[in-house]
Amino acid sequence: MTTTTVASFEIKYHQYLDANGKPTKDIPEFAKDMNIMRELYRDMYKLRVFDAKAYALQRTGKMGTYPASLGQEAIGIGYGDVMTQEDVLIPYYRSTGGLLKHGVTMEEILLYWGGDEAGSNYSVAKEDFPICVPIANQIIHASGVAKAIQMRKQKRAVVTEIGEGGTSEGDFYEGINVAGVWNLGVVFFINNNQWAISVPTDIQTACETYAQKAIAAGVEGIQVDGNDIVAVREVSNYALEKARNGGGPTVIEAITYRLCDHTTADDASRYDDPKVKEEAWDNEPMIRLRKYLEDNKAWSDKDEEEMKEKTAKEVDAAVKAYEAAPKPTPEMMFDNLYAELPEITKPQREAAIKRGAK
Amino acid sequence: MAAITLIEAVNAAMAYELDNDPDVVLFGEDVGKNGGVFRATDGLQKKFGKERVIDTPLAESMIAGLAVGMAAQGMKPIAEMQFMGFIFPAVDQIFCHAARLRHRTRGRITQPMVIRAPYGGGIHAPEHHSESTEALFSHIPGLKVVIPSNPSRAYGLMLAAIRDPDPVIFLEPKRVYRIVKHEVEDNGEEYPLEACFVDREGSDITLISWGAMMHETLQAAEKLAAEGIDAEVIDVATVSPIDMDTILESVEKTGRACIIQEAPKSGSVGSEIAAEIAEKGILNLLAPIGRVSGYDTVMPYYRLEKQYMPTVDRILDEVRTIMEYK
Amino acid sequence: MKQFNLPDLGEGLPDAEIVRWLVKEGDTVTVDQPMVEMETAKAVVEVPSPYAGRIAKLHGQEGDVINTGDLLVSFGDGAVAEDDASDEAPAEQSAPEQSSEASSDDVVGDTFLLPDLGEGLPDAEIVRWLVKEGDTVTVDQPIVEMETAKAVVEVPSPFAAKVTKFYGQPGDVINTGDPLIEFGGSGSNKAAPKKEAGEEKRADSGTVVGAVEVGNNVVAETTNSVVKALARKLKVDLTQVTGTGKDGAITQKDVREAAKNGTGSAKAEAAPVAQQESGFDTSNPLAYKASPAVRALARKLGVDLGNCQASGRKGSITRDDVENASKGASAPAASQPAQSKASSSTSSTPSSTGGLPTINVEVKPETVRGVRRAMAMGMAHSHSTVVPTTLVEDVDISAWPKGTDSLARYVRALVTAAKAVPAVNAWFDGEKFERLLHPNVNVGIAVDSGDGLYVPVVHNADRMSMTDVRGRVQELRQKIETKSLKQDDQQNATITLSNFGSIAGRYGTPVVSPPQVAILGTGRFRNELKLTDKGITNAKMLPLSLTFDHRACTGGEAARFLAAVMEDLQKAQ
Repeated sequence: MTTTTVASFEIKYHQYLDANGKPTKDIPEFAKDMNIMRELYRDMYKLRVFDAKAYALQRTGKMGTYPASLGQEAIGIGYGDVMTQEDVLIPYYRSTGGLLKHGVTMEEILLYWGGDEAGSNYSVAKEDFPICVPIANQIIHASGVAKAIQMRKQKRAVVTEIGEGGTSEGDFYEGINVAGVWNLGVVFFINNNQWAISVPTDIQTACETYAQKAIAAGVEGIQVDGNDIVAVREVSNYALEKARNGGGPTVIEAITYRLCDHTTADDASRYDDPKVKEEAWDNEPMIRLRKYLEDNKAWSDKDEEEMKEKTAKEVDAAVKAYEAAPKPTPEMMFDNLYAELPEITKPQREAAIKRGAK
Repeated sequence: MAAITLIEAVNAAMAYELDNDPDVVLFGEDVGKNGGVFRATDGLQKKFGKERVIDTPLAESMIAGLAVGMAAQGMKPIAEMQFMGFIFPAVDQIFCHAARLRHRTRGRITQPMVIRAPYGGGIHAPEHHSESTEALFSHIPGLKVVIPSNPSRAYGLMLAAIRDPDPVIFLEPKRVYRIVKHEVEDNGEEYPLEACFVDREGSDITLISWGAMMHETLQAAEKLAAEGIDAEVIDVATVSPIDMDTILESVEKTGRACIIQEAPKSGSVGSEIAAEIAEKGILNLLAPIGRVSGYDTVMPYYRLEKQYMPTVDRILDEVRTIMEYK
Repeated sequence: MKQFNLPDLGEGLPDAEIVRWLVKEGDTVTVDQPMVEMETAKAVVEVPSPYAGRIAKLHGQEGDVINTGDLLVSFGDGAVAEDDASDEAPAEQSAPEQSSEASSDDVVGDTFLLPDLGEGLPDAEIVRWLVKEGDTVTVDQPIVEMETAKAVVEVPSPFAAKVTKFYGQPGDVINTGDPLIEFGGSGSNKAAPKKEAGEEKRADSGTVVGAVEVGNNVVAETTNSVVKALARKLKVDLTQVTGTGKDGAITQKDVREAAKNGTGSAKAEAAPVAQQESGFDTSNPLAYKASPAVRALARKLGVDLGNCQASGRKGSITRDDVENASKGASAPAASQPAQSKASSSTSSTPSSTGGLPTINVEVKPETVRGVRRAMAMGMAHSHSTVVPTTLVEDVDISAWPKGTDSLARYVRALVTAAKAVPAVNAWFDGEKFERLLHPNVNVGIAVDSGDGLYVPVVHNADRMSMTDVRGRVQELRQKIETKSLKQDDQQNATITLSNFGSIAGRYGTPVVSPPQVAILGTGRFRNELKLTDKGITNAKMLPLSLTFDHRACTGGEAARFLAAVMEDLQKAQ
């Protein structure tokens, strides 16, 4: 039987810095600007400290469940650094880095995980979606937002993020497929941290890469070293510029490792391999960036100390603000249900108020 | 002013608002060139262009999710589900996002949208095409569920649904898509949501219905009148949130109530109305509340469709039983 | 003259639009000559002439929409159909067994109607005839290829018979249930599939999955119901709205305007209003609040709910009330008229009947506190100072329209009377011998509650609309329920209203609360036969009891005041 190849595809992998912070090829221009690189380092550090603080709050009963980003900081900080305020972020629950970069405050994030809707009423990133908890729904929202932007002929990019397990959901394909067919300006980030709670990637998919799922939607798929902030930022910048200028969507698979539990409610030691995790620690994104900065004489122990001190203050201030935030009152359950509360529901609101906040 | 059918009224209302408001955008499967499988969107793409009347890929969750994203940007999407039986993949997006975004962002992000779906039985369709599942949606806070019973209401309520700042599930009783015509003035005048319409005033019993069953209910009321029973007939129209004041006031007057719906009996909109009457109007009741509904079974294939659906006779029997309580 | 009505153009559509006439009036046409191009929702089709003859009149202009079945073309005399002679006669002959069922325009006979070809489709298109007219066919012999929206299918013959007529040419669309072929001659007597009894014609435009019933009836919307629904939603009192529609009808726009301008605003909550009015017609079982179980018990014991004293929640009759009435233990409601003013608590009902058995329950006195104590002190003070005189009268309120808010009317009547006779809307100090005639009218309204008697005040009632009054009363009731009534809400009444009739009681001797000088009691409505010029009519009578402090007012003032109250109450609006 003779056949003809009617289409063929390939997936490109991008890396600029290896695990020791040494360039593997010519580095992009921005990475030569040590001010930018120092700032990226500080942002990643801040996220790590914030995560640790959030864990502590949960463990001391001051906050609810929280998913950390340990080891995966380069993703959100990387794309967040090239987002403008006009761009829109459609986050999932592990997008803390992207949210912080896009102007969502630490206090708001704490309020969200502390069980208060006020935490989703972002003061700065007014058009960003609140965190999406049901898996993969956000992929379609991103396409919907991008469709509105396209119809209004605006030059704005939409960024969304999903775990690699989430790509098994139908909504993932539905969302990237319509982005492909309508040429929507969306960047779909896959945080491939190797784990969907306890399910490893080899029982999640038979695909060699998650980036190749884009091919079935006619969308460009790129794989990137998710622990290399230079690569993440560079690829993000490419994809966002493309999105803003009518170039259509991009799916980016960022390969990293979840060094933390799924959430505070999880214990990863029940299922992961300590040896693998130990090796992953050698690969994590902050060490290599620090080495890169040091190689360029752009970071000292003094810088490290100053950063630690400043960040601790900043995070503590956010925690204080969180703890001092006014408690939500019962009528808030009703006051934003509809633009106008239905007659039939009004007595329930009154009853809830009468019972009072307990 | 033209005499138009219910489906033409849906079309006219959408056309009016597409013309009136640049933020309105309509999409779904086959809604463009084909004009929808029932022709609800006939001619709209031609008139308003492919940018505003859009054929989507075939995926219901995607259709609803796109509406979520677009509404969050301040557009007013009208998304069509080709049949209500295929709405279930979209339920995730509707329940988890459309219904909740205003609430969970304390009003920062709102969801002005209409999800349209032809619904209900009676057209000899294949399976999955004939169910009446409005109760699933009326159970969800944050949604409004609207079911027009005639062309005028389809026009007025569709306009209201599009203009409403919150998500509206607009269920079109397809059995009565073309059964009668109304003289409808295409003047953009909306009807109130969350308001019952008293279509017949009477003093002996309150008949409560909505959608296609309003036709059987009104016919039953006329037959009852010949028997000397003066029935008041209420078209609920917005089945969630329900305007109970109108219903309770009527029951206070008549002392008797019968709810007529196509949907299965248990856990239904009719159940809710009966519960509300029992809770707030029991001191006025002269007889048990009656319900005429579809049976608590799977919607049968169409050979048994007529046996499944409430008929005028079933309504008459139930009302006569209720009237036996003196 | 032959008439040609627009046929169903094959899509089950209710109408079609005239695109272009292909003939003129006066033209002579032949059978099957195209006469007109019509556009349906799906296609533009040429409509051929069914007759040979002269066209007398074209019924419609290009662009007009013609309903299926409506007149399209009139032919002059002498026009003939090609098959006029053969059209009906053979059908009659060939269908003797079905003739009793076959109407002239729905000939079935051995006519084979296009069956549902398996998809629930409304129609199918003839692709190719596999036999010719005149052929004799056997059962199950393929006779025609039909194309549905989904497939091309061969349709077999249901009969062994001679094919006498085709009802279409290749390319024609035949509706499901419409004639496809006619068989004649020595056909077998197998019946043709007929339309299922009662099944409506399949006619849908577009869907591939069902048959939507089509009707051409134009029905009127009940606009009144829409306006009422909107008014309720926007809380607009329709009686206050001037209609700008046809014949002065109120339009939706009028209602929205009224809501925006606040004219005719804030209609009262429905339920409590009706509660007030429920004493209206005592022959109506709905005049009483009672659960179905209580009603059943009353039926079983043969007790008239009208003879029960309502002691339950929201003025409802309880099972105990029914049982008491059944035993005759409870005096009829009317015997304790002032009771509701003081308190409706049954515990204070004196055992005046004398026939009660001895009670063996040990009863400890309880300290009377709060509102109940205030009532006791107030009443004693009144009794020790006021010189009360009570006037009673009935007023005919038959003119009130259904749904009239009685409480608001009482307040208005008091306001009107107070303006007419200021001496009654006054305060009196018996020690200094001073009186103060109030320019404004603050109406205290006696409200019975479980805690005792409250008299919240509607201040400046003379400057409020009836709707405002009702709204204020609602607000005050709410406050009583939530125990949030403020001191301010209960002070500075200039006159008091006791609507004991909403519970029971015809006349009473309401107690004046100093320094006020008067209190009006309204009793329970009743129907009374009345002789008028028009004969005997049924009148709704409202009993009034006015108590005044004779230290402060003259009997004449009080009587004039009562007359003014009555005059206002008699009005319809």
